[in-house]
This record gives sequence, structure tokens and C-alpha cells, in this order.
Amino acid sequence: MEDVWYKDIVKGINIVCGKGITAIIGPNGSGKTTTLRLITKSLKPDRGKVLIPDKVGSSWQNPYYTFIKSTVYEEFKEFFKDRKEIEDFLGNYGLKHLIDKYTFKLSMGQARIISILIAISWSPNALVVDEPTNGLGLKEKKMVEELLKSMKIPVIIASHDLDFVLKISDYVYVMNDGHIIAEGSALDVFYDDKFSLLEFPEPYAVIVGKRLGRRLRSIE
Amino acid sequence: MSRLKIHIHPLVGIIAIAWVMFALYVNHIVSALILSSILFTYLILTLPSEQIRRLAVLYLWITIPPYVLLAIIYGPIEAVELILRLISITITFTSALQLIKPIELSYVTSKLGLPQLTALAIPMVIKLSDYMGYSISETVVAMRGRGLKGRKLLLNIPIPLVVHVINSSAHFAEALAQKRFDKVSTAYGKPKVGFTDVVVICYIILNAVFLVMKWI
Repeated sequence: MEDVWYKDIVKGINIVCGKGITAIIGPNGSGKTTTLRLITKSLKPDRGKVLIPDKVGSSWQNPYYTFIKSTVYEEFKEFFKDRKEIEDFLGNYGLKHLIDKYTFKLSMGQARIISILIAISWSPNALVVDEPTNGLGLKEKKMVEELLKSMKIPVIIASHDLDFVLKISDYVYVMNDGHIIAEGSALDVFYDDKFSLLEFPEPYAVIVGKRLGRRLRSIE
Repeated sequence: MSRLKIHIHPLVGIIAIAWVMFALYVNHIVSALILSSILFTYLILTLPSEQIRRLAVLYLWITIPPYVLLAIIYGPIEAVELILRLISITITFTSALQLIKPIELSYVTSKLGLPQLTALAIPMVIKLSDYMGYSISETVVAMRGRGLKGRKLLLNIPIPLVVHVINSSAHFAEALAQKRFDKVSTAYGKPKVGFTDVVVICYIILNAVFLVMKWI
């Protein structure tokens, strides 16, 4: 994205998403979701350029809007040859047991993961996920983490979950009031003075590091 | 940000709609247009600028394509008259219905003998139309995210929407139950007559008197 403007929400932002996971963080109303909408070309910018691949898969805050079939099996039927392939695919993420479940009866966490899996099933060239950890239990959060990390395509997420962002992202943009106020690797951003101006609670690892009187170089 | 809190009495709203339809029926387009303009002015004073912009876009869609079509069929002058009628009806309906408080409309419709559920459902549908628009746009974005485009996208949109409506109704019922809907009624609010109502009613009466004198 080059100098992209959209109404009063996004004000001249520049974002480059390479391979790996790019995260956009910021307070409510800072323009994160609008930026994702601009990336997926669901919104047209007033000014600036958005250069994206042809096929961008996406999963949004309400995962239930993605479902068009009654069961999980039927959702994936068009993307795979047979039931066995679908079982294997779901099995990779420990979700084989959901194959015959009604999509609209899935829990929020399960629905979110299935919605992300649908978004990647049509072989997109990039993936956009808005608030990937919303409504997820600890186990599901771990699952989404592994799922997103295993992607071979550029992944862009917007999230409030800073511990999650610190764990999975390769590059982070911090948005506030439509502007990008900081960017860099997750740790660089969380130690940036501009980030502390947002008065966000720091990720747990950073807090522990501070208590030990150390600046973390990596979370590994 | 909304600026003023203006509401009209549900009966005044219904009378205003009836008057506009009657005025158009007896070819008093100017009278109908003035009344719709009064209501629209009140609406503009009430709504946030973003909603006014959306309404303006809606009005443009309602007027310009039909005008082009009618101009081709009946000629440009005839088309103007037809479009003015259309604008008058659209503005009156949207303005009057937006200016009525849902709980007050529930009160009036329940007095007309409608069951409580229907009485509550009518204003809810009117007031939730904006939310429905939002749901549609969310669904379109989600459908694109799973690779659906064009005809396939249009064919599949109703599925998540219908489910969403059902789920939303369940959540709404849950919220009402939490508000002790069974013991303290949250559905009705007895309407009061205000200055806005007096203006609209006076205008209608004056016009009616003028019309009757003209006929005599």
C-alpha cells in the first residue's frame, strides 16, 4: 500500500507485506479493519495505490458470515477430491472430529478456525485475518498460531492480542488515528516509545523481561 | 454525532404519509413536496452527517436511473413530474418512519389491535434496516474472502444472512429477557405530542382547508 487514504479513517499509510506474518495493531477505531478491507480491495481508497495479488483469502471478525453450507464436510467438498482428503486436511489441525458438525452450530473458536481454513482452501496468494484470536480458547489459539505459521503465503492480521502478535508476527505496524506510528519487528515495536504512548498493556514476555532487568532480543 | 433529538408522534407520522399519498392522488404535488421537505428538514437536524450522506446516495439511486428510463418512455417533462412524485413518497416514508420512536410506534400499533410481537416487530424492522445493510456488506466481504465472485456470490449471500437474522433474533430475545421483559414492559412507550407534531398537523389542516375551499 502506498500513501493510502480512505475518508477520515486511514490517513496516508504505507504498508509492505512480504512472506511471513505481518500484524497490524492499534486501539479500537484506529483503522485496522478498514486497512484490511483496503488490502482485500473490499474498499476503494480515496487516494494512493494498493498492489495486491489476484487471489486474497480472508477471514473476518464474524466467521459465521463465511459459511454457505450446512456441514463442515460440505463446506470443503468443492475444494477436495473426496472425504478422505478433507479428513486428512482437517486432521492436520486436529479438527477431524468437526467434519460432520453443522457449521452454524460450531463454537466461535471452531467457526473461526474453519473460516480461516476455508479462506486458504481455494489456494489464495495471500491471506488476511481480522482479529484471529477473538473468542478462542487457549487450545484453539495455539491451533490458529500453528495454522498461520504454517502458511507459505503472505499473511496479514489485525489483532488486539499482543502476546499472540509477539509470538507469531515477523513484522508489526502500529496504527493510531489512521496513521502508522511505529513499525518493525514485534520486539522492536513493543520497546518503541511511541508504542508506550498508546498505554497498551505490554505482552507478558516483555513485562517479565523488564522485571528481570533485560531487554529481550528474541522470544525463543 | 447526532445533533438534535426530534421525534414525531406515530399517528402524526402515519397522517403525514396518508396526506402525501392523498395530495399526490389529487395532483397537489407541491403540497406533498412541501410536507416531505418539512419532515426531511427535521430528519437532517436529527441524523449524523454520515447517515445523511447515505440517505442522499439512496435518493440519487431512486431518482436518477428511473428518471432516465421514464424520460426515454414518456419524454423529459413528463418524467420530471413522475420523479417528483417518487421523491415525495420516498422522502416522506423514510423521514416519517425514522422520526418515529420504535417504542411509541409499538404502543400505537398495539392499540390498533395488532399482537404485541407484531407491534414490536414493525418498528424493529424499520430501525434495523441500517444494521441489515451492514450485515449484507459484511457477508459480501466474507464471500469474497472464500473466493466467491459474481453470480455465485449473489446466489450464496442469502444463506449466511438468513442464519444471521435467526441468530440475531435469538440474541435479541435473550437481551430482552435479561431486561425482565416479562415483568417490566420495555416494548411500549406512550407517545407525547410535541412542537414538531403541531407544525406537521397545522400544515396538513391548512392544506386540507385550502383544498376543500377550492373544491367548493
